[in-house]
Amino acid sequence: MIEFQNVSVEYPGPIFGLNGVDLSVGAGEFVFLVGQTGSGKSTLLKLLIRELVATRGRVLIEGRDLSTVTEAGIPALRRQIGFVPQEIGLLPQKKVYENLMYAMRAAGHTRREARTRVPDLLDRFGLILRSDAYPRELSGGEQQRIAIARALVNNPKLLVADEPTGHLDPETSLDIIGVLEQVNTRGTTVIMATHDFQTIQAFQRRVVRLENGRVVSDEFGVGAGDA
Amino acid sequence: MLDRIEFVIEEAVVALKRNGMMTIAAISTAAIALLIFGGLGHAYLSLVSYLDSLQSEFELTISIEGDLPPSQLHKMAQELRAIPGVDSVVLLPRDREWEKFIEKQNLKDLYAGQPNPFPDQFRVRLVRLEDADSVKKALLEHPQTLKEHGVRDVARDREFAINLIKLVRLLGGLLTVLSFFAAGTLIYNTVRLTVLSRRNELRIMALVGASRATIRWPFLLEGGIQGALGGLVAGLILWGISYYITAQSINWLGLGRQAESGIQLGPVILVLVAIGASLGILSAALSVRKFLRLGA
Repeated sequence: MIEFQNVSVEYPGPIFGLNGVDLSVGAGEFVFLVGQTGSGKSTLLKLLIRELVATRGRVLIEGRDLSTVTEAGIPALRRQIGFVPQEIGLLPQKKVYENLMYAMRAAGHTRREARTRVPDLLDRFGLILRSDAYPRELSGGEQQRIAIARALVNNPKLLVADEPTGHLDPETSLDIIGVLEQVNTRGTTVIMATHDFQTIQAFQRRVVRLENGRVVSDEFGVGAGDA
Repeated sequence: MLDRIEFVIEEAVVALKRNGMMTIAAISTAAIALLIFGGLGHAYLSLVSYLDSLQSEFELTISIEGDLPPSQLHKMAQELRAIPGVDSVVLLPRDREWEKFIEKQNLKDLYAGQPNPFPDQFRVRLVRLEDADSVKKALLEHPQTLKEHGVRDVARDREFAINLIKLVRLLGGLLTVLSFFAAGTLIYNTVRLTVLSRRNELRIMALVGASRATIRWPFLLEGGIQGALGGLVAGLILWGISYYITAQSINWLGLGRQAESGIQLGPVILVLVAIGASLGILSAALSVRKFLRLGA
């Protein structure tokens, strides 16, 4: 499904965000992308949603080279990819229900479609009883669940989460990863970036480790603890 | 489609409400700019129309003292034709001129029943413009010529009108450019504030795959509404000013009629609203352009 072929991203300096990365992720996989701050995790995710373009190499999703996606084609690409940003970014003046309605309608869905899908999403993520709450009235874990639900408004085949447990306690982090696993069991490919090595040890999943913009290990359920 | 329009309108209204005072400032400035533009535009068009109404610069018009019978008018015409430098002489009967004046001003009701203030006149065409002064002197010496302002030199009226038009065009152009720039800058800044205060929404829109049009149009609409409201306010003020001036003139002339505005409210508002909306959309488009980049 996803192919990184000798991908490098060079920032002015020059600094390498990524340096010759080769990586392949199959449809329906769950991949943890681990590494310290500045290792290149976020850069790799930004390439997938076409916020960045590789300086060298190719990034392909379902055979399509993302460097060929024009500015006008980016919205269509992003409707196929759910993205959970590091900063969560819920709209504080809107209630939980309205946050999801807003995202759906901005993505081009009609009000009627949004009214059908939003309660389903809230129910699925155990937040139906919190739909009238404002983000400030939610716990960190609940806010992150909303952010994940929002990333799924377009029913994407790929979900990309950038440090979704970064500011959560270990117990809530486990809960959030559990939520992402649920999403994955429904057939959605999940790529989650994290520097929280301890938490992901509990999950027997593929772990890709990045250091200084390079892939230094790619193992199934092992090796993360060594980091 | 309707659903998209509804979404765009909702977002624009939210932005207008959120910006409060800045929105009011932008509307006020747009109104002032359009008022200057509309007022000077109206003055300019009136002057051009006046210029068109002036006769050829080879002509002089003389007004006749008293109410002469046709035979004497005929005799006087012959005497005028005899003056060296005069090419032709045409009688302008006072009744016909009064009718033409009322018809041209489109104020039949206002002038109905009023006494005719026009004297009988002759239009004297010159052979050459250089003879204007000598012919004018001869005409003034004629015993039947009205003593005060008896000879009207159209060439001088025309010259004055042309100079006035030049001044209005220069002043109007300068003031319009300045005021449009001020209004455009304010709308630009207001929309920029909206963009900055809504960066979170913009980010979410971009991430969930909102089209560029969905992201852009609420801001353009916000600018357009500000400009259009400015145009509406300017149109109403302009109409009011014109109404006031007409009312004062009627009162001063003692015509005892009901005042009307010299400006047609509908078309003027339509034009100013359209110009205001265009100005607003253009300013907003410039303001939001940088923030519309979705990718590298």
